[in-house]
Amino acid sequence: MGSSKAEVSESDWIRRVQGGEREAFEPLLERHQKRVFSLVYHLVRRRDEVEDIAQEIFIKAFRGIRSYNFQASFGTWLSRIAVNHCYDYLRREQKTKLAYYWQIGEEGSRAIEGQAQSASEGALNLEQESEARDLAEKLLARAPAEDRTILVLKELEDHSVEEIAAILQLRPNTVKVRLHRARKRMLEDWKRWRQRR
Amino acid sequence: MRCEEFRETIEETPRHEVSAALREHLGQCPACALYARDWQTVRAGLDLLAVEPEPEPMLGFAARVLRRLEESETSSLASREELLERAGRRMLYATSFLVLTLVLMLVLPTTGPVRAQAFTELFPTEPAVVAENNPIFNDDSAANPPLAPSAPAENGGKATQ
Repeated sequence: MGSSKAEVSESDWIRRVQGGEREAFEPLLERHQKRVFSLVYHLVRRRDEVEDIAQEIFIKAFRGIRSYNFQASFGTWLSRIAVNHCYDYLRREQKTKLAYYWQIGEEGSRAIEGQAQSASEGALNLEQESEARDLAEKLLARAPAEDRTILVLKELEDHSVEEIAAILQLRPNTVKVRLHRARKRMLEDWKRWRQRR
Repeated sequence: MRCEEFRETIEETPRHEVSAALREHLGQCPACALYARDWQTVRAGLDLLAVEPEPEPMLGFAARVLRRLEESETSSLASREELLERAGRRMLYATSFLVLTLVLMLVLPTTGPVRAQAFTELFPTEPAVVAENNPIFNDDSAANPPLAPSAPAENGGKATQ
């Protein structure tokens, strides 16, 4: 073969995998592995699990590649598989794990309440940053899998509403509504916790 | 501005780009002011989560995935072959049993305590109609002429002696 890997476009690789050439999956893997790792880590938040989950996602993608019809970009299609896989993982995790209110530590919460004013003014010191990061992580962990998925795609993966709509196969307006509800629920959860103290 | 509209807008508004309309509502509605403050705090935390270093794929990740694919294909092929072999073996047993049963049915005698049904029992013939000219029954038929069921009784249906 005269053409090098670089010369072959992504769609050519995809077609070759669809034709049964397993080795042609390697350049696709190399091109998209970072994206999948990032998405998995942000959704699952467990460093020790990221590689295994990412492997499962790529295996699923390989098995389902014949159904890929080039309508969305391959990255979007792959993200969809990753999101669905992580969603199932989170649902399983949440069934076996109870998210108690003590997950938000007493000291941390006091510091966060004290710093809320600073956050609105846009100035956080190192300690406050750490507390805010901790709070956001815990609120995300406690959020239902649906809310967590859409919040991660928007707030951590920095996708636009249109991109999220393409990944989740929803209309952009539906994404906007779901995002607002997810944020609202997250803040209500925090508020409930403060009231219980 | 309605509270819900304010909240939806403030969520999408960068911290330093709060418009005059939003500021006005903030000043008038303590509940929305609290909502905005809480959201700023959570968003600050989310922003920090977004920039923290995420795990990188380790060297050889693609090769490991391809190896897993190869292994799963091999194992699925092996299990398919095993399934076919098992099905073939069962088919062979079933055919052997059927052939043996047929042979036994043909070979075993039809008499004895366990015997096959006689041909006549299986296919009973129609009861023989007594022929009028049969010499064995001729006398009886002459002595007792058969009743004519279709003939109406002449004496009002009373039996004659």
